Amino acid sequence: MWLLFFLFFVHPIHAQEQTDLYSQYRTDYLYQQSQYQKNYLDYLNKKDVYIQYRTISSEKDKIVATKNVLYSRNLMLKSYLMALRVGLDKYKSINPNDTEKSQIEIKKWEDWTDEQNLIIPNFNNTSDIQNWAKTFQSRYIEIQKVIYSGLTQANINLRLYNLNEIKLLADTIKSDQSNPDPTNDWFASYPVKSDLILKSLQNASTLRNQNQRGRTFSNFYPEVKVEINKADGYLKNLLTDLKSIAIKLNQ
Amino acid sequence: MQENLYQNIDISQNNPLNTGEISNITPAPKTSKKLNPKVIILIVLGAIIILLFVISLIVTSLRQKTPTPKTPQITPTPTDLPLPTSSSSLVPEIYQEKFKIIENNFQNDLNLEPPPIDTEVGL
Repeated sequence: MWLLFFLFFVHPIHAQEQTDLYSQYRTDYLYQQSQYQKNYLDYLNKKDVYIQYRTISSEKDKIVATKNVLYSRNLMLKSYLMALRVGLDKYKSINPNDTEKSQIEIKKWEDWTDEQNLIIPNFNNTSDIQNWAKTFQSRYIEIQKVIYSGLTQANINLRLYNLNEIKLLADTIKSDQSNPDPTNDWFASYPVKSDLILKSLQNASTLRNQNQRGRTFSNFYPEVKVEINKADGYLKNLLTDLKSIAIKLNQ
Repeated sequence: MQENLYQNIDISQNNPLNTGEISNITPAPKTSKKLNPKVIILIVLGAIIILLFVISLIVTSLRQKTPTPKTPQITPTPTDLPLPTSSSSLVPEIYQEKFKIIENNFQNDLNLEPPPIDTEVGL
């Protein structure tokens, strides 16, 4: 009896926790973003003063401001990555393997930003900062790839989840009718539409796996969104047709 | 019997007796110069162009006089299919909630824009 009670309630509570955790991390990210923006403005001011006067004290100020902005930038990136990783939990059950892979990649960069924030406070001169900034520039290409790959995964998961929900609802409507089955046509067209949806999602997944060439990030996400929008179109079409069938049942 | 030589009175120059005078005949002066064929072609083309210009002017003035029918404005095709939210009340009650949940799921994307950062900081 208690076991049944537990099994009945454990899933919704877990889902609620995930949503709350995501909201919490997202709020934290937005806060870190505002901190980064403040520090960035301060860095720009100190840099201008240094360029104007070229004094030792203005150089020191610039170094401190640079360290601050780099530190807060890493914090912001980390909080963003955390929110993204936790956000992926929501529909993870529909595609656990790919989602897990994305989450592991994201976590790797969370740890990297943490490590870098142990190094940054030790910088004492412009040369050290410059070397680190160069390393960051090349690493940021990989970070961006992981970010957009994670967002792509989140998009794919949601569409797979919706497809499954629509199918479950159609099954319920089908089994619920004593009259001649009105969902025959819908189920006849389902494999074709389902294939189209899966094909679009597969295309989106392929796009995110393409290698980055060159020293700048080539953003695949706009193309991913095109494929996701296509999948959305087919999904909405399936749902609309199913709704029409449900309306007919009422008449 | 003496043979009589005679002259064609119609053609004064055709007198077999006056053979020496023929060489003195000068050709009649030309009254008009023959035009170069290229110039003729140019003139013809120019005439055709002028003709077409006049025709186009007439057609344009006629079009301006007649009121043009309003062409329907092209509306952009929606990229996103709208969900049939208005007909939700017609769905049997037992399915209404389920349809609503799925429809809401379509807006459940992660609202998490990647942070814009300046990678030149420190360089």
